[in-house]
Amino acid sequence: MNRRAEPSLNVVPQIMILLGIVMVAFIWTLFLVQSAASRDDALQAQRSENSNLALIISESLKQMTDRARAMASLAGDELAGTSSRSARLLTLLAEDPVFNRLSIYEPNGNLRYSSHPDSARTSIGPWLSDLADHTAKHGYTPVLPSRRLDPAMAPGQTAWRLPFLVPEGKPGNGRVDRWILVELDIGYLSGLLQHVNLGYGGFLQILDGEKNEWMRADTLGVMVGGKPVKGLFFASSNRVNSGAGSFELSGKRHQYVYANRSPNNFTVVVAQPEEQILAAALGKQNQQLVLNVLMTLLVAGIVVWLVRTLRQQQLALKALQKSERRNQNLIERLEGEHARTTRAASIDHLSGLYNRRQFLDVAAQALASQRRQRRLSALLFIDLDRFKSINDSLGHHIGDLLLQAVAGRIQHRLGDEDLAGRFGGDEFVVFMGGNRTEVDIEKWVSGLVEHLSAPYQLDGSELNSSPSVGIAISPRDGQSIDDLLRGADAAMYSAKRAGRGQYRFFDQSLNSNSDIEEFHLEQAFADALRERQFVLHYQPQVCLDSMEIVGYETLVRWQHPDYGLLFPDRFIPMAERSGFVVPLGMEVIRLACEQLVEWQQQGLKAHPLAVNVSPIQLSEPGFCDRVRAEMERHGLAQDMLELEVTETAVLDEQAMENLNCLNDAGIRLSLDDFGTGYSGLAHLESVPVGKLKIDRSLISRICNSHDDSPVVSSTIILAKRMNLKVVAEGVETPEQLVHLKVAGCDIAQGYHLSRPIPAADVPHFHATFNRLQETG
Amino acid sequence: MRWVYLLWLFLMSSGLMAGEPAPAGSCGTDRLVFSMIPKKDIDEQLREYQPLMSLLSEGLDIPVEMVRASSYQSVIDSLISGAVDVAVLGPGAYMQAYKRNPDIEAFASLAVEPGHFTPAGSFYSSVLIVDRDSPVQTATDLRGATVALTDPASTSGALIPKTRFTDHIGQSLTGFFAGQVYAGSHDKAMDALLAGKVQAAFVSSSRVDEYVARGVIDRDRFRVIWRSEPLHYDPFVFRSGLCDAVKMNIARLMTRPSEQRRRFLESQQATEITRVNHQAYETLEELLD
Repeated sequence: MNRRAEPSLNVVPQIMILLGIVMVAFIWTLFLVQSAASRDDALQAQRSENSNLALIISESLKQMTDRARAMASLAGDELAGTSSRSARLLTLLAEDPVFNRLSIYEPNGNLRYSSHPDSARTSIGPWLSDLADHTAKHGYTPVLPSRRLDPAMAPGQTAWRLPFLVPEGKPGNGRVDRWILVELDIGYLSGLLQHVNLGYGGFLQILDGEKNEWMRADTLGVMVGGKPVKGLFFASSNRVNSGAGSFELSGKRHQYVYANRSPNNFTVVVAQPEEQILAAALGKQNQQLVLNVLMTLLVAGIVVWLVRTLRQQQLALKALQKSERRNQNLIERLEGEHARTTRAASIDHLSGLYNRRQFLDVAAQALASQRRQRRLSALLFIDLDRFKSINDSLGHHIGDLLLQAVAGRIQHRLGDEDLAGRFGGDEFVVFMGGNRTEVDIEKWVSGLVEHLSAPYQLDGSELNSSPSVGIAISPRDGQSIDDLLRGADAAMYSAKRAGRGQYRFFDQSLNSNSDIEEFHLEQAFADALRERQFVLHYQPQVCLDSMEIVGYETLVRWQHPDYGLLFPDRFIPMAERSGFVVPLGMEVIRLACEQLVEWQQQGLKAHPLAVNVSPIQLSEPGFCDRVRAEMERHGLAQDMLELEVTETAVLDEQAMENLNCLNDAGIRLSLDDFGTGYSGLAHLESVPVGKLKIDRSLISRICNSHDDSPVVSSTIILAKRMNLKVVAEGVETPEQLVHLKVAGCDIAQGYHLSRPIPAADVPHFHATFNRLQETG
Repeated sequence: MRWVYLLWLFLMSSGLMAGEPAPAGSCGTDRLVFSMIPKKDIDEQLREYQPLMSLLSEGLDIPVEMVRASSYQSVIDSLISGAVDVAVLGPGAYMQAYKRNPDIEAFASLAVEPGHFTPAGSFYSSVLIVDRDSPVQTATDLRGATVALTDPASTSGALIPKTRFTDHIGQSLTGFFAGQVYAGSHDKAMDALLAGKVQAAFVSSSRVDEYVARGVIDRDRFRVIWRSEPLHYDPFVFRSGLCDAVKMNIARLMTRPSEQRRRFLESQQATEITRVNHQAYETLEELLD
């Protein structure tokens, strides 16, 4: 918004300045137009006024010529001879304010009579010849003769009398009998004019037919020796006409109007300098000019003020916008920080994946969304095989690097709608969204397993790891993330049991491959027994007091011709289901006996062997007898064999009978996996066992959490009170070993001491271990 | 404005029509015709002369008519043609008339009270005056100015300037002044000067004094830039052929003290009417060449 508003803000002052200019231009244009108009008006007004004046004066002059004609008519033919009539005429002339002279001429121009013979023109021949055409055209009208041809006065001399020639004759014959010259006193005319307003500098002219000046007068009187006026133009007409124009005189432009009387051969001109006409208008114009200048200054002032105000406002606005932007930045930064903090709280810092809390949150939403779209979702529970040992053997640093690498590989394969999280340790979970089929899911998981099983380059060393993956599918296996997690977890354990780098569906029907494998194994079981494909591995048990090997636990392996060496978790459950567990159990006892015999024949020190007995086997009638018979058949001492039973086994009555039988026969018994079941120690009083084997899950807690060590410690103390020897299994770290020894544990076994080893390796191990203890 | 003109036109026309031919009288019998050169407003002038007219009318026992003249020339023409029996002319006008008809006879003149511009007695001068505020100090300062004259036949208002003044400046008036105006009378010339329409005026010194006397102007309103030699006052002139008895009667009436005469002299700021003859004006003859 701010950025868009800025250009318009810049435009506003420009518009204001433009408006100001337009306003000023308008004011001045109006002024110029009005000035021109008022000038024209003034000139026009003066023109019409002067036009009236010229017409009136010309009319007056015309009436004077009429008067001249009347006067001329008094001077009859007989006038010249009659003195009394002459005296009457003279008196008339003296009393007449207009005319004071009268002369009569023959048609040829010679003087016949004059009121003032001493100063009369003796001949007017040039005038008469000049007027011949005029008379022919206009008839017997009084005319003003040519100034140029005046026989009495040289051109340029100031005339003081205006002559009018009146032709007389009999109407009709077209012949002039005589000419009467009547002279008008110019003083009279100028006297009349003194009360006429011609305006300052204005003057009046009386011109003859050739535009020569007879008289020029202004309000002061008759003007003498004025410069000749040039540039007059009159429209020609046979009648009276008037008009206007202008001319230059003494460097000043004059406006003139004229009244032209062609029949009487004269023109009256009234002229006035334009500057005088315009003086009044000019005064107003100057007032207007001052007003305009003031208005222009006012407009300019207002515009400047507005622009300045606007600019200040803009500056304020910009400052505001700037601070707002700064605030916005701060807010964004704050929000960023907040988002980072929230993310940090929701992200596992080591792997960069969601932590448990956040994953459950996000995955629940994703699951809901998937279900709304009626799509399949899958939850993967991934556990790294042997991660613990990697961590222990190579250090936490490498462990962490491995976790990061695994997280990276998982993340790399995620689709847009997939989520991944780390629940702690080596537990990863993946939620698979999107529109996938079961086949798609399996393909993806298979790819993931392969991908995660590829070697890792960590800190310069190569590392091999593999995942076990459990898969639960919604909606089949559960409607909630919790259900799915449980399912996937169980499936993951199943996969783990199946060996390394395996994946399992929670729904067994989907585990097509393992079904086939299990089927094959079940089919091959009888042959395997017959062909003696089962072998034993031996894990030493060490006395914590003497640090000497006091016995071995036997662990069965299936040396399968096709699948290789199989661990018991691959075939024991199947054997239990199919009933093969009983012959398998006897086969293990037989193998243990054979091995004891072999070691005795080789001269090795005899150590008892512990054999696991399945509850099914233990609940078989005659089990005790068969074991005793087998012992006897090999000629072994009774105490060379130790049978490990589980808590569940001792609940059965037949099992108890077998146990008592065995105990009576001197065969040693121990209780396996103690701490995982629900039986208490008090329950053990009736069970004839000499040893207690604390389950590996309890031992492993010693390392992970020292808080749980009191459980192990108190278990050991209680077992001692019941006169039982205590064996700790799954000892994997020196700390556990130290802790167990301090707690009073008698015997320990585990990876820390030795992995299960083949029988062939036992003599060498034995020798090496003893030597190690002696030197250590 | 237009109505003023129309009224003027009407009055003028009616005035023209009113003039009826008068019967021509024999020697000094049935009536006396009197005229005078225009020096001021003609009606005022006629009013001032009224005591003189009644004096003559009563003394001669005949009607005395006054002819209104619009210019010096018309008075001269009337006197020469014999239409006027007695006329008051200016010195120059008298000489112009005398040249045309030497039988006319100048017989009397006024002697005036002393004035600011004119000494007492029968003489006056032509003066070139300017306004007191004018920057002009000498005649030559007036080069290129506009000047008011009186009448082409006026002695002090035209003839003297055209001759004596041109001698003084050594140049014709037309060349010296940018504009000349014949105002028609001394008063009009002074009015033009007062109105600032002209920068200077040639007038009779006695006319200026009369303006002062009448209170139209202060005595120092005008400054005199140039003054001519003394001129004899306006003569009263008989036409040629006027009956001697009448002439004598008129001269006697005008020179003998009487109430009308006193009133007339008072109106003219004059002290006396003195007898003169042609010799008093002869010196001006050269002006007319």
